[in-house]
Amino acid sequence: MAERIANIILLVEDRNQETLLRRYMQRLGHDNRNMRSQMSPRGQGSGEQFVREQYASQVRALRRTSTKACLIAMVDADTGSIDDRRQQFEQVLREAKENPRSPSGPILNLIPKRNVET
Amino acid sequence: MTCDRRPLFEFVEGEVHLFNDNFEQKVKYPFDWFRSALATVQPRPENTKLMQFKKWIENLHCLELNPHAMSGVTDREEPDPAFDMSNFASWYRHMTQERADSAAQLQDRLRQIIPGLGSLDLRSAGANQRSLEARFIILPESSPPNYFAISFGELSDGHRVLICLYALLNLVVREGACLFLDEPENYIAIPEIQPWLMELRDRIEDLGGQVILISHHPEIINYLAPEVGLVFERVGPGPVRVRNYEPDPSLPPAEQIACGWSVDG
Repeated sequence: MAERIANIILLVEDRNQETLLRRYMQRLGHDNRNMRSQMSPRGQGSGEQFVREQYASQVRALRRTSTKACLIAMVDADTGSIDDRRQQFEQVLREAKENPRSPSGPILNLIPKRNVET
Repeated sequence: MTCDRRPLFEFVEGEVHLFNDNFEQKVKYPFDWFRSALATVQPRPENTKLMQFKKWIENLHCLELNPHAMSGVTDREEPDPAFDMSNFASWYRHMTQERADSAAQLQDRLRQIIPGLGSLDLRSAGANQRSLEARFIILPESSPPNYFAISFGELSDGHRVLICLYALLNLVVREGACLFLDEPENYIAIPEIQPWLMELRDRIEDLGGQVILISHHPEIINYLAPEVGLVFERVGPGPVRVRNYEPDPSLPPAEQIACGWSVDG
């Protein structure tokens, strides 16, 4: 009965980010059934470490699957700079020996500054 | 029963005491110990508070879906789903009459969820009897499209439960409603669980209502426990204790529970 295919993977820190992203994707015409949410076990508060830890394996899985899918990873910049966060994402991929993200590829890093609440 | 700590209804030593909306005792009469007297109280201009509670109770549903008990044939309308949803066809028959818009929205949603599904129809099957059938489109590009129909009772367990779950979302979950659902993940494929939870969250955010899910499934635990989880525990034959779920930042909630670990502090 597995008839649903998730082709938008949301890798997020918490429920606020998940809700914001899902609702935005819905506005763009996407359905909950196309989305798969991966959220920090904390559920609330800082899940930035969780997103970084999961990022490389999600990128790897995305690049190996034959399904046309995309990954949207979101981390608040908090008190740091957007560039710091961007470099952290790049560093994670380097350490995992994964090719860097291509700007036109299916991986999107979202870095709200200072956070989604603001 | 009290409102703001003042009485609305009492049952004392075999006697019913009824109070009006100003909490003044108005009626007293003997009643059977083995029946609910509250259920027999009729609405009157002076007991609106009590009736409000009764109305809320009518919107409270406790369900445990059992596809094996669900029949595809109905001989009447039933306003409420049975505990195991064995009366789905009769309840759906009622809802298509009373909440036609919501039933139509349900059909639209089911078409998106079950590939090939054209409609969920109640076909005449004799005097007062109707058969609930799922009509599937064979050649959507042909005009008119070719259909084949399968009785609801002949659908797979998973499809029957999936239809019931989305019917509950569309026809039950709304402001003022409270739904207890035991192990909604049973019988459905793993990829179907999270989208249903997402839709449930969206619906509650948009329309209100309250849903309490009882589950052992990692998909449900991981998605909901960090935010709104309650843990029910029983030590030996003692009473069940309920506590808020305490997340462990280093483990997914289902893994934490599978290990039997709790977070100190």
